[in-house]
Amino acid sequence: MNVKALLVLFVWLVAAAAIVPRVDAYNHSFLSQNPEFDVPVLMRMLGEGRSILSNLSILQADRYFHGGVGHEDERHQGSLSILENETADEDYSPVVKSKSKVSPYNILFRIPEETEVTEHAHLNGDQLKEIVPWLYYASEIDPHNVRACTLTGFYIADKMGKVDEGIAYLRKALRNNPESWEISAELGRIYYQHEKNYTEAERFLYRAWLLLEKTPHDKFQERYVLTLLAACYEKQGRTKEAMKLYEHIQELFPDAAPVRERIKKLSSK
Amino acid sequence: MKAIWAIASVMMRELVRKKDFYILLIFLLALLGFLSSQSFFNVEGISRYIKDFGYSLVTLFSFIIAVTFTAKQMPGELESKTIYPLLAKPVSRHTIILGKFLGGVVISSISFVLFYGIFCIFQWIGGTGNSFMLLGQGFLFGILFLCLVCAIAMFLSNIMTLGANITLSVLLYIMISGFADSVRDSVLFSKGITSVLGGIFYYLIPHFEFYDLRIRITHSWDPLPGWIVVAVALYTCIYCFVLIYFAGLIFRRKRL
Repeated sequence: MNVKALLVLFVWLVAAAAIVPRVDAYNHSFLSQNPEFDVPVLMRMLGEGRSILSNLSILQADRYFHGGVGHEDERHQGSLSILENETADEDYSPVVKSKSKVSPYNILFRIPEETEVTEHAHLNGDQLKEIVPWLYYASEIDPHNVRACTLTGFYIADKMGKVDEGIAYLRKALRNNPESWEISAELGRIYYQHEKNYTEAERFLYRAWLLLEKTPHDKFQERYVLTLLAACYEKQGRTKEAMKLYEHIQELFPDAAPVRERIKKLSSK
Repeated sequence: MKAIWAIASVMMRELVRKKDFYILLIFLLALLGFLSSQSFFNVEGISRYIKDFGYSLVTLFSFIIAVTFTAKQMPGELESKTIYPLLAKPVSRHTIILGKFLGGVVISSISFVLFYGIFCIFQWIGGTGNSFMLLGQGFLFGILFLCLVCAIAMFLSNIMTLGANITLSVLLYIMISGFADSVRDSVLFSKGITSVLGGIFYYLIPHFEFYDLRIRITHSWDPLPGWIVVAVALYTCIYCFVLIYFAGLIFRRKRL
């Protein structure tokens, strides 16, 4: 009996030793060709629920941005205020508590009214770091949530001043989402604005433009990418290429005075 | 009073003997340690999400201790038949219920004190402590919350089985914490008989959401005004008194 058991164990070990390296090699080659499947097991088990959780994490970041108080649509035109990149920190007025409709003797109805935090406040300066964990989790839970990726990149590079970390993070995000024009454009912007590396910026912005052309988009998105790309060309002294792009932008927005002036300025050079 | 304390002290020995508390304590330490050691893109000094998770964990773990220890008291005594020697002593059934309730409160409060202490130490190490007033209010509300939970579990343990009691207590906690605000709003915006019935329902349900200071502690908002603290404490006392009184009545009429 013992000899039989040992024999079974031996055969099992030999079979495992033969199969495991092959499976491992197959996994490695598969994941290197399909990086979008390189997700932890737990996350894979969540399935499509990952996308919901990831968006909830962004909502939580927005709540943190408001000091834990729920987001107020009417103050941000229905969008999340953490998405408003250039949010003026002081462009909101404090909430004045309206007079309660509940009788002062209706105590159980009054308590939640008094305990609820209603002040409308935005995190600013150094406090903004508090939303970073939620943005990080949003993109970790669903690496294909492009909005989470670009938002995280923006907050790390622009708001936290960690440009290298932001670039490394966005490059990783781009590997997971090679078809995303948004991530390419964000990388290009960071290279342009923070690193002043116009060659790299041009590379990513040009790629973003090509990807954008392949997907349904609006003219504002096209203007965003092209303006940055034209600026890159200008910085590199490639006036003709920049001019072409500005002309293209003017076709999209015929009444845009700044573009017209830019073209005039470049043609006079 | 002596009899109540004697019954409660038996329960306290249970806390030391059983492993539930130690497991939750280790789990809390491990989770807080893990959260504190997390690094996000080399950004230093991030603290609010640790406070958020920490406070939630402290409340949840204390709630688990309160419900499980209190809920199993009566069924445990009945099953092992240890209730008979207890009833043979010169103590009323109300005293037994009160003793068991007090034991549950003391056990969960001891756990809460330790959990809350660890939470405060982690805050202090991270250099992101709250005002003493707010932390004090958080502590007081935690104890009051546990009193309410123990009273509910003790009341339910007289009318249902252990499993049903724990399930209903947890469900009540989840539902009321999540939906009490919606109930309140719907009552305020309704009229006529709906408003009256809704109002009665709102007054009857245990308001767990009153004790939740998570947002205030996490985001370092101002402490609550004094009258709110007094009102919540009074509310807890009245609710617990009513529940324990009825639990005693039910137990007195029970045929054993």
